[in-house]
Amino acid sequence: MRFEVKFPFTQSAKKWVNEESLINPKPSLVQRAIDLIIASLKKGRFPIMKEEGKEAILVFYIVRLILSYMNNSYLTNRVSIAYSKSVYEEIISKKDEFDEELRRLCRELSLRIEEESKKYRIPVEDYLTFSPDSPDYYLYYLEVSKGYVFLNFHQLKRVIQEAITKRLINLKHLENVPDEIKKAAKRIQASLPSLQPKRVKVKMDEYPPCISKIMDDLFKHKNLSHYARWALAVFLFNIGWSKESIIRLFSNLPDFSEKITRYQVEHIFRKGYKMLSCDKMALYGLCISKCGLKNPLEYKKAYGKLDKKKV
Amino acid sequence: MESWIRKKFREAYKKLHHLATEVSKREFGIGNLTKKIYKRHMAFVDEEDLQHYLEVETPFYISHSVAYYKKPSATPMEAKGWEGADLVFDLDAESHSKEAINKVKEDLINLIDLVNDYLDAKDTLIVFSGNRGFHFHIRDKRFRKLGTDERLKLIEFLKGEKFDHKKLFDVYNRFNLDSEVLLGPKPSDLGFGGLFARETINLLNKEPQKLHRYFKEKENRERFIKGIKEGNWNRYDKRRVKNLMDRLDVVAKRVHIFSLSIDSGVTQDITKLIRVPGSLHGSTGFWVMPIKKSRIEEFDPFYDPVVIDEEPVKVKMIQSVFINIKDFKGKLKKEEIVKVPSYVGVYLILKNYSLLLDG
Repeated sequence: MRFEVKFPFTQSAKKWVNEESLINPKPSLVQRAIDLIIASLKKGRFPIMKEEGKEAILVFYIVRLILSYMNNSYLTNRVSIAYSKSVYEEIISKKDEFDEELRRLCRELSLRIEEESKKYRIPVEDYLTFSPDSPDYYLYYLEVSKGYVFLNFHQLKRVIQEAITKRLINLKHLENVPDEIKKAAKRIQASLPSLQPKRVKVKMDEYPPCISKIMDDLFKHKNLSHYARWALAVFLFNIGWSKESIIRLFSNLPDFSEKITRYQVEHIFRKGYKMLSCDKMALYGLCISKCGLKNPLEYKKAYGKLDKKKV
Repeated sequence: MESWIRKKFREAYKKLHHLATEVSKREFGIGNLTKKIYKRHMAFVDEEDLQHYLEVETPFYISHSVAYYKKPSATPMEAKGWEGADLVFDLDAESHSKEAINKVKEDLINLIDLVNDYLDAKDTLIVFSGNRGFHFHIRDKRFRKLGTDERLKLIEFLKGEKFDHKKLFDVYNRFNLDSEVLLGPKPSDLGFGGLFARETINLLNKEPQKLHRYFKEKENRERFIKGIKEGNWNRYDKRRVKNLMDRLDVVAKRVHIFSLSIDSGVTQDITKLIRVPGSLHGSTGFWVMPIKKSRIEEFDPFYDPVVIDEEPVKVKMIQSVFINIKDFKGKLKKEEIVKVPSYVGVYLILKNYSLLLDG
């Protein structure tokens, strides 16, 4: 498969796309784009197109056009994460060496990688931007020296995946799109109620600023860090939310998997975790306000009836 | 009272030059005696324009954005056109006392070492905050584009608080003690792993019983250390030493950095306004002075940053307080009328310890 077909989000692929064919896209290609978006929403994976030629790239561009027009961050994030997961699983993870194709991909993603006796050297600032959000990728477990982080090949591949996700999530809102795209958007919109996360009613001002911030990010469908997810679930458990409500709330995550969420929420219920103290929240970078409390659970009692601005 | 303090500030500013850089791209904010920032979205043409403002208008507080903007005075924030931001660390003591500030110095030195070793950051500036801490500015272009999340990841690393030494070991057999080999960090590794291996060997040589009495025997210890040097942490008798991983907690505690005095909120905030280096602090009258790394230890927060003159001034005490600033030392009692050097007078008034009687 050509580089451009494998990685249709790159600049070189963009050069291949004839803008004419996007102004008046073939209905069959639009239909394929719709199917791909719906498949991503349902399964969390984006079926990678395995055909030569420009059509696959065009379909990818139509997907992106529909998403920019719809301007729904849940959709964009969910499809983008599904896409990068699939590219990782089907192409990148299968590589056993840092070949010319990966080198080229890194250049396209502005990832500066230098190979040095089976290790891969990346500037700290690039690593911070593209490191996966998992405790295994914290800087302490890696070799760091003089402005560089040293990765093994597996770690490098995961960083590339993350860089692809970041590239895809950044999508500008476009209003001026061909009618075909608008129609496609309407059709997706119509099937959304069964695919989108369920609405959960939350009175935001009853929650401490740290928890409101996490919820706010969640409603914007941002990909929360492990600690933010943990703190939120434990907080809600402690104020008496039901398992099902918590899981429903978490369905707003762009990488939501009911199985994993259920497992973790049940774990919290089984163990009966106490809420993290404010010190711990600060430690994890989740404290955003100086409320002067010891535990976020005290917030409602202390400030519940006050004007929020006074905090 | 206010005009007398302003006069003292103005005289000091005439002898000093601020240390702000790329002034035309930064947003400025100024404060009066009731509010540290009462006006923001200000901009200056260049370094001299700012200096002139300090000498003529003389605000009590002046801060600038860590950020660089296309149009620093534009509002709302989105209209400014964010182009990047310095990486800034704020280390605060628990109180404005010499002892509390001295405690922070150790954290500061650790932080600077880590930043040098791991980040290799250029174009850095350490300043006394003018009150009870230090600011460490990294103006290196390499880090300017980092967003809030990236800065948070970096600060977590530098604080070392989520560090779990078990993760330095091979995930597949770190609990499988029957395996011949347990892959772990080597002393020659870079980063935390190497530090951890070196510290383990260090502990084994000095206080082996802290890990386990088994290692008190030279032969056992040396076999284990030889393994570590090759990255294999499994050369010990598993029937005698149980739970090695848990026992290694004692080493983990030693390599922890725990720079608890770093305020993560400041580093994360990419539009933060921070005290202008080289300006005066309106809560003390002290100079936000630059400090070389080699001079941090000997830095005296109640002597070195005193830049206001010593001309005597008469004040009336509102509350009793013990003062030890520069060459003045003594207990001042409530209701007392005393003659003190101007730098003490400014301090007392700004801290609300006394009122000015004559200037």
